[in-house]
Order: sequence, then structure tokens, then C-alpha cells
Amino acid sequence: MADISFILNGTGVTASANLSDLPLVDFLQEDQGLTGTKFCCGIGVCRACTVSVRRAPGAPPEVLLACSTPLSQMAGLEVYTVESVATDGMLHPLQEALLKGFAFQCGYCTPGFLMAAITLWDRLKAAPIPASALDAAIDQAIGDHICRCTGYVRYYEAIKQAILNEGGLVS
Amino acid sequence: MKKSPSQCFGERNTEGTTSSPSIAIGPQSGLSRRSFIKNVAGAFVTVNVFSLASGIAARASEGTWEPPLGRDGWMGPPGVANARIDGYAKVTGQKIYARDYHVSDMEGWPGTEAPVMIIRAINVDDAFIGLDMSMLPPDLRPERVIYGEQVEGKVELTNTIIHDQHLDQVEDRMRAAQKKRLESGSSTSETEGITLPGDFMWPFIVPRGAGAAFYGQPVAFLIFKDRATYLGAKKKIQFVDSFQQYGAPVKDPLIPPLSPLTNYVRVAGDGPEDTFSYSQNGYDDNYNEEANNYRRQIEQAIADNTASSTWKAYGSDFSMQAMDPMFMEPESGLGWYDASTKTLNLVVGTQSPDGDIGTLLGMFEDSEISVSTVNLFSCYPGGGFGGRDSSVFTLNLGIAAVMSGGSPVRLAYDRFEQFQSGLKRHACKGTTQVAFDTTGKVQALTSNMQFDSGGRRNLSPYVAQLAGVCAGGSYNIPLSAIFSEALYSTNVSGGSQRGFGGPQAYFIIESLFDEAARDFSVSPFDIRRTNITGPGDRTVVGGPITQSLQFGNILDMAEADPIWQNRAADRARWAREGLSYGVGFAVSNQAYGTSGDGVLAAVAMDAEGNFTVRTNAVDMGNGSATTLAVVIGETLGANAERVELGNADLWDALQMQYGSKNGSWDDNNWTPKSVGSSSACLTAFHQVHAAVESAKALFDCGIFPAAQALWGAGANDLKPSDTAWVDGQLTVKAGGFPGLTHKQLASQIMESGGVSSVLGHAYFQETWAKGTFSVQGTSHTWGLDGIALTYGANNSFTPNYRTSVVRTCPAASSYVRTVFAPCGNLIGVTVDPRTGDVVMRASASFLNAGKIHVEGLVSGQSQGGVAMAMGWTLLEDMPPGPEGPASGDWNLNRYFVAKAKDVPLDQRLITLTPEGDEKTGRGIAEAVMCSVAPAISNAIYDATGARMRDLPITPQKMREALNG
Repeated sequence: MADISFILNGTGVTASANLSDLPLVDFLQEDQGLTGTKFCCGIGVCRACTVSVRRAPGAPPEVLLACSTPLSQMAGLEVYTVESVATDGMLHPLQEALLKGFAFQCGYCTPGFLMAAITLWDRLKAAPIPASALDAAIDQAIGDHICRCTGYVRYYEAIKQAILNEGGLVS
Repeated sequence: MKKSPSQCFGERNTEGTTSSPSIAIGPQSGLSRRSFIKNVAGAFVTVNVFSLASGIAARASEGTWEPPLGRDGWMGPPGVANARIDGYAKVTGQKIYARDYHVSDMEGWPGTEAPVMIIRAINVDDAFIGLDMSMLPPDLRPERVIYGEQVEGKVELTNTIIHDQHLDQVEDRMRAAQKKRLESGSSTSETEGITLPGDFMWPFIVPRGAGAAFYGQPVAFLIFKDRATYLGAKKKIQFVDSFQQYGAPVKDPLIPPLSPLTNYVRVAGDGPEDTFSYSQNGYDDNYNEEANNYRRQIEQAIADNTASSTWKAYGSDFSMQAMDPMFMEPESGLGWYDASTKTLNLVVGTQSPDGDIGTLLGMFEDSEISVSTVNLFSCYPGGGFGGRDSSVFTLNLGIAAVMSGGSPVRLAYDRFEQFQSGLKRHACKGTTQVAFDTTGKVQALTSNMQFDSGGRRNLSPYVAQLAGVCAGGSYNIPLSAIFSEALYSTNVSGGSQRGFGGPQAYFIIESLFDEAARDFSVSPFDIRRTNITGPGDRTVVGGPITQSLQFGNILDMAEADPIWQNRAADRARWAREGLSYGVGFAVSNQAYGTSGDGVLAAVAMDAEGNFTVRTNAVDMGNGSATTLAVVIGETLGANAERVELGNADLWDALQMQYGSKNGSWDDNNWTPKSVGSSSACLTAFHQVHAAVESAKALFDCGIFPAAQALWGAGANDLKPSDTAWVDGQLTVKAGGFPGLTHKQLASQIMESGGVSSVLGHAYFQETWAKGTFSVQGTSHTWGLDGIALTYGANNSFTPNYRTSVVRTCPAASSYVRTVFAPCGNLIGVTVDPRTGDVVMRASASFLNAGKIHVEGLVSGQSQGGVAMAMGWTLLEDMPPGPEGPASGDWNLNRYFVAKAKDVPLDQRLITLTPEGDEKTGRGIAEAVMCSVAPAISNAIYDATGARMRDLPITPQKMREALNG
């Protein structure tokens, strides 16, 4: 079996073939030192481990659950984790909205919510939707996520406000 | 070169007080480090505390990094937070949790980490024989297998009941005590002289040949050479029951109810004093005998008056399931025991760093393993809710570290292991009867509650105790008899979960009040108006209520709320979709804090004029760090640049004594209680008080004298109250003196050797103790009972004992709780009569939180309480015994917590404006949660006419109720 190569936060990485059944989250945390992607349930329910991927250059972004995706399925993908979102110390508008909106508490679920919202954001950049459909789109993006500290309301509010403030994401 | 964990934070080194750590974490690491000495059984142990969860915002002040929210980053004007102080680190995925760290991050740690797997008992009926290692191929076998008998002599139990006494004798005496208790109704088993089990009454690891005392008790530690071996072995043996081998049946342990038991009987008098109550009579030698006589009289009064139709009584049995806190970060940590220097290093995220260190050191008293130094790296916990309070995890990590043969170890539970071992909310059964006169005025209550503590005591009896306080609800009840106890079982251990017994108790009483309201044909608000408690009344314990509760406002606001006012239209609207809609209401009067709380905080000014707040508390997400950073703003003219959490050394720096055995208020270095575990409900009132009073002390004896010196002789007659902070400068209100910047003041303090930081300890029991202190010849009085000071650039604390104290009221020790955060919840639900699905559609919480420090934190906590309580009420279920998470194969695929889409976005929090001169916050983390379950249940009754008394209210139970 060949080694597994994919793009991680814009840089090519290669995993040994004998790690093919290693969950992506373990590879990120233990081999790449990227601990921002969180392990929680390990079975793909809570979505704390959500990352954003593109299956080909220019393809629409989609979410992927790093705890239940083995490296064998990563070949050729572009993977983006929470560590990639802020650039030069400047936060993405979604990060700033979550921060200013007191959206999270312990913060362990935050990277998962953020990457789901970033994925939605990037899709809306490419294909805006009517403003009337935004609530449903946000619900589709984060509705299955689990946060144990908050009641989710501030997550919803912050993400919605950031999208509306950006302009061009909804029509 | 290995990275230092702190490089992620860019922290400055703020070197500690006494000695240098013996491991190679140098100043370049930038770690915040403080040290202290503990005397353990005559031997001195150096404890170094490294706060990984500190000063995350500090980069801004170093000038190397521009924070994202403007010059001051998270910080707003004095007293204001624009965001969480820890928010940037969390939203960018920085390393702040224990699980984020590996040995490769730890400077000076050797080699690679050895993963540890704990095998836990799945059988409590038969003797554990061993593990079937033949199931693992040789290349996947662990380097070391640690059985229980191998740790004997190496790690000591803090309770030696099994070893110290002949078990048969113990059992005989326990049986006798139990029998006597049942016959007499006595609330204590200690009358027979039995030493009841302590926090850790069973071996940490079950020795081969013995039976496990509870499901999930460790039977072996497996230490692997590397991750690949660990993962390979895990695939082979996880979920395979036959890996554990069991032999002959073992005798069930016989353990009496855990002490202390709760027996609150109150008979109100005709005047302001009670005829009988725990607070009045609790210290009587024959309290339980008297109490049980009154209990029988109360029971008889209910029977007689209901027979004569003078009263109407409503009573039933209730049951509630255990619940997993399901904090998001499974417990994780690193450990390394360096035998050459006798140093134990631990990286953990715990709610109770002080307690964990104490218990950890206790394990090595008289041990073959010598520990002379402990280095504790304290991380942000990824959630807690009580589940990390006195958890055994830290001890297990310590055991693995000392038994690994010198390798650093990593213990990182997966979610299955966390379910199998983590502390739970107690399952509870209760029987309560509440009697009203014909006008709807409540006259009497009897309540009996049993909490399943599982296999370890933890804080179970105290959970049962607070449930006893809550059993009378938010009402003024003339006659009450409440019995509450925590019972040992073989189930996974219970602990101090969010609400601490309150959710269970309020579910019972608020359901019965709704039942009564229906029967009396009055609104849920009117029946409560008739009976609600307030200042001048007494609790069921007999303690006076002196706080403004504002229940009248809560009831008025709830009744006027659209959820209630529009319920008929909403009912019709949902009916068109085939759903039954109803609205329910419930209130709670949850206490915050404990029966007596010691808290501390240190406030320091550095040479640049920036402030740091240090505390022993940790922030589980509840916002303690942010709150403590901003509450000093009003006093000091600026918020704290950094907050250091989890400083287990601070208490020792005070060099005070505590506890009734070690002194009294007459001793000026004594306080009743040192410090406790971190609890969300202790922030807004308790921890804030310690920080604010320490800030006042720093101002009075450090900053103000510096200002006087800079202003010159003309300022000699000024008082601190003559000054004010204006635009970052200290000014004199009447004018005549130039404004002084923090930098100028700090320079003066440093040059003159003035007071540069104050470490203050405070004690609350109904009131705050107020100490008078002499500092540099001037007498000051603050709401503190002990202080230690640093001078100039010297960071070593010097104790400065008080000269006198206004002590707390001695009688308050028997009030049990004296401060409360009232809340009402109004909830609308739909019930699908075909499927039994219950969906929460809208909620409004009406909360008396006192002064709001940071609104975003308060509403976030409130919404979280609603969501968690909704999950407990409708979704989260776990059977006891081997059918539940004890089996080791439970996860979120069968334990359902509320997801984002399950919770209505129509959640509103309405906080009440503080009355009078109330200037303090109230601990509210748990307050909102307590009345959610009964509000949902009452809404279900409103929708369907079915009264649900057994949680969780699953679709199956709902269908059964609807179908008769």
C-alpha cells in the first residue's frame, strides 16, 4: 500500500501507509501537532472534530469528521483545520463574531462549530442564498453539533450576524 | 528542541515565591510558576504549580502581538469585557486543554510517552482473577501490567477501613447501626462509633482474588511502549468481556448510608422563632430523637387534617435517572515520575487542584515510593459541571506515573472509558407529600429522598444534603420533615453535578405544586404567590432568609410573558399540526456556595502598572477568569491584564490555620475554612468578593500611599475616598493635584518598596468576616480575614495577620445555606400523541442574578442550564448496573444529549434589576437549571393531562401515559 498524501492547511503532508486506519484526528494531533481539532466522542456524533475539506482543487468545501475518518480516505484531499482560519494573527469574521458574541464557554466544541460555519461561509461565497433561507442553512450546518456548556443560541446568533455583516453571502 | 507548552500563550515568567522547581523548565519557557512547601506526615514536599491556563491575553502587553479586537484585545473599559479573556486562544484552537499536550511538548521530559489503558470491572459479583493476555499477540502486549496487589505499599488509600478492621466486625456493627437507624429513624450511623467510609473507600485497583466494589473500578493498568502498540491492543480487547477473568462469587459489601445523613424537621412557632428546627436544635444531643417525634406529629397532622377535609394533600413517588455530565473533553493528562529527583510531574485539567494535590500526596504517605517534589501543570478543563471535582482521574494518573518504570505516561480516556468511569449526576428516588389548607396555603410537607452514590462517596452525602434544603421548594412551610441520604451501590460513582441535588428536589416539589394549582383551579402563579418565601421567612432548615429574593417580580413577569399570554393561540396553532401544546411554569430558590466558604485571590501590580489576578479557582468555561479580570476595574482604574488560575499554592502563602481543631477566631491567623473546589456558582459572589476586597486593599495600602508620596505634603490629609479614577489616571475629586498614571504609581511603589500585591482570604457564612489589619502603621478594615503582601519588586508574600475581626454569626453555621439565586422557568412544549415525542418550543427564564458582571457570560450560562436540563428531562438515560455505561460500551450513539437542533432558539433570559443596595452578583450557574424539568413536566400536563413523575420522559413513557 502506498503512503497517503494530502494537502493540510495549504501544505502537502504524507502519512505512512501503515497508518492507513489511523483516524485523521489522531494524525492531526499526534503527528502534526495540530491539537485544535478536538477529540470528544470518537464515533462521529458530537462533531467537535469537524474539519473542512475540498475533494479537488476548486471543489465546493464540505465538512468531514476527523475522529471517524481514517487516513486511507484522505488521499488527494485538501484539509483545513481551525489553525488555518486566522491569517497573520487576524481573525476571520466568524471567529471574531464567536468571540465578541460570547458564543462559547469551555471552548472545546468551538473548533468544530467554527469549521462547520467556515464551510458554510465558503459555500455561500461561491453561491449566495436568499436571506430567507439563511436560518435553515445555519441549522443544516451546525444543527447536529453538541455543546455542553451553552444553549447554542449565541452560536446561532453570532454566525448569522457574521454572515449578514459580510455582504454578498445572501441575496 | 522541545516546545514549551506556554509558547502558545506567550506568557511571561512570573517566578514564584520560595524555591525553584527541580525540573528543567527554565525561564525561557515563560511559564507562570509558583511554589510552596507542604508537610506530609512529617516530610516536606515541594509543590510547584505551573499555570498553563493563565494570562492568555498577556501577549498584548508584551508588544509583540496585536490583539484582534483592538489595542486592549478582549478588554473593554474598567469593569467591562468585550470578550472572554481566554476567547482568542479558544477560537483559534491553541493548546489550553490537558488533552492537547504530549510528552513532546514538555521541556525536560525524557523519551516518548507510554500510553496507559485502565481495565475496569464489568463484574461485581465474582472475584477478579486476572486478564487473559493470550488474546493479545506478543507484539501488542503491554510493557507492564499493574494489578491491585502490586500497588499495595506503594500508593496508600486515604481510607483504610478494609485493612484496619476485621470486615466481619465492621459488618456486624454496620448492621446494628443500620437496624437502629431504621427503627428509630436516627439520621446518623456514627452513634455506634463506626468510622464511615471516606472519599476513597476501596482500593484504587482491585487486587486479584478480590471482588470489585463497584462497576468501573480499575482492575488493572496496562502501560504500553508506544501509541501503535496501544492502539493495536485496544482494537483487540476493548469491548471484549472475556479479556477479564472472574472466579468464585464474592460477598456483597455492606455499607450504611453515607454520612452525614440529612434530617431536617421544622415546626414553625407562633412568633418569629421556630418551635423546633435543625438550625435551632441541630446541636442538641438528642436532635434526631426530637426530630423524629416531630416528624411523626407532622405525619399525623397531615393524616388527621386530610381526613377531616381541613387540608388537601398531594403526594407521590418520583424517580430520576443518573446522568453523565458529558463534558466535551474526556479526562486526559500526562505524568512522569523522576525517581532520581523523587519528582512527580502531572499535566491535568481539574476543578479541584488544591484537593487533588492533597489527596495525591496522601497516597504517598508511608509509601515505598518517595515523592519530595510535585510539579502540577494546571490546564483549562474542557467542561466540568462537577464531573472533574475530586475525580479519581488525577490519582489514577499519579499511580500510572509512579508505576511506569520511569517512562512518562499519557492517560487519555476515550468517550467509552469516560462513560464507564466518570462521575455521574445521582439517580434519585423520592416520596413527597405536601398539604394545603382550603385557601391554598401550604401547611405541611414530608419528603424522603435517596440518592444513588455509586461505589465511591465523593460528595454524594452533601448533594443529598442540599437536596434536603431544596425539598421545600421556594415556599414558606410551617411544618416540614425532610430526610435525604446517599446510598452506596455498585454503580458508577455519582458526584457534584450542576445543581448539586437541586434539580432532583425541585422536580418533585414543583410538580406537586402544579398538581395542587390544577386541583384548586388557580393559576401556577397564584398558588405560588400565596406561598412564596421571602425576607423574614425561614428555610426548611430554620435559617432566616435575609436576601431580597424578588419572587413577586418573577411571578408577575412570567405571568405577563407572551409564552403564557399567547398559550391559547399557540395551542390552536400546534393543534392544526396534530400536536398538543402546553405551557408549564416552575420556580426554584437554588442556594449558591456551601454552608461556609473560604475563598482567596491575589491582586498584583507590576512595574509597568499592569494588574494580575491570581486565584486557586479554575475556569471550566463558566467565565471565572474573565469576570475576575474585570471586577477589579472599578477599584483600580483598569482591568487585570492577566488572570492566573489553578494556583494551589496561594493558600499556603497566607500561612494561616483553619478548621475547628486548629484554632478559633480569637487567633488572628485562623479562619474556619481554607479554600474549596472550583464551582461555577462560587464565582459571581464569592470569588468576586475576594478579588474586589484584595483590590481595595492594594489600593488602600499600596496605590494610595504611592499617590500621596507623588503628590507631596499637600496630600497628607487626603483619604482614599477623596480620589477617583478618570481616564486611566488617579485624580483628586476636589482637584488641586495632577492625575497620576498607573505607570507612575507603579514606579513609585517599586522604588519605595511599597505594597505591590495583596493576597486576600475571605470567609463567608451568612456574612463576610471583616478583618482589621495594620499595614505600615496604618489600620485598615476589609472584607478579608487574612492577607499576605508583597513589597516592591520582591514577589515573596509576607503574611500580615489581622489585628481584630468581625466574625461571622456563630448561629449561621447551622443555617446550611443563606444565599439564593431565585429563578422561574416558563416553558412551552408540544407532544406528539402518536409518537410520544416531546419537543421544547419556547422558554423564558426569569432570574435574580444580583449585579450582572458580564452579561454575555450570564446569559450563556443560563442558556446552557436550560439545554442541559432539557436533556436530563427528555433525552438522557442510562440504566444502572451492567446494562448502563458501566459495561464500557456506551457512547453518544445511545446516550442522547441535546444537540443544537434540539434546543429552541426562542430562549429568553430576563434578569431582574437588583433591589436596594445590592452590589454583588449571585452564583447562577445552576439556578436556571433547577426548575426546567418541572416546567417541562408541567407543560406536558397542560398539553395532555398526563402527569409524568419518572425521568427521563421518553417517547415510550409518554405513549404509555397517553394510552393509559
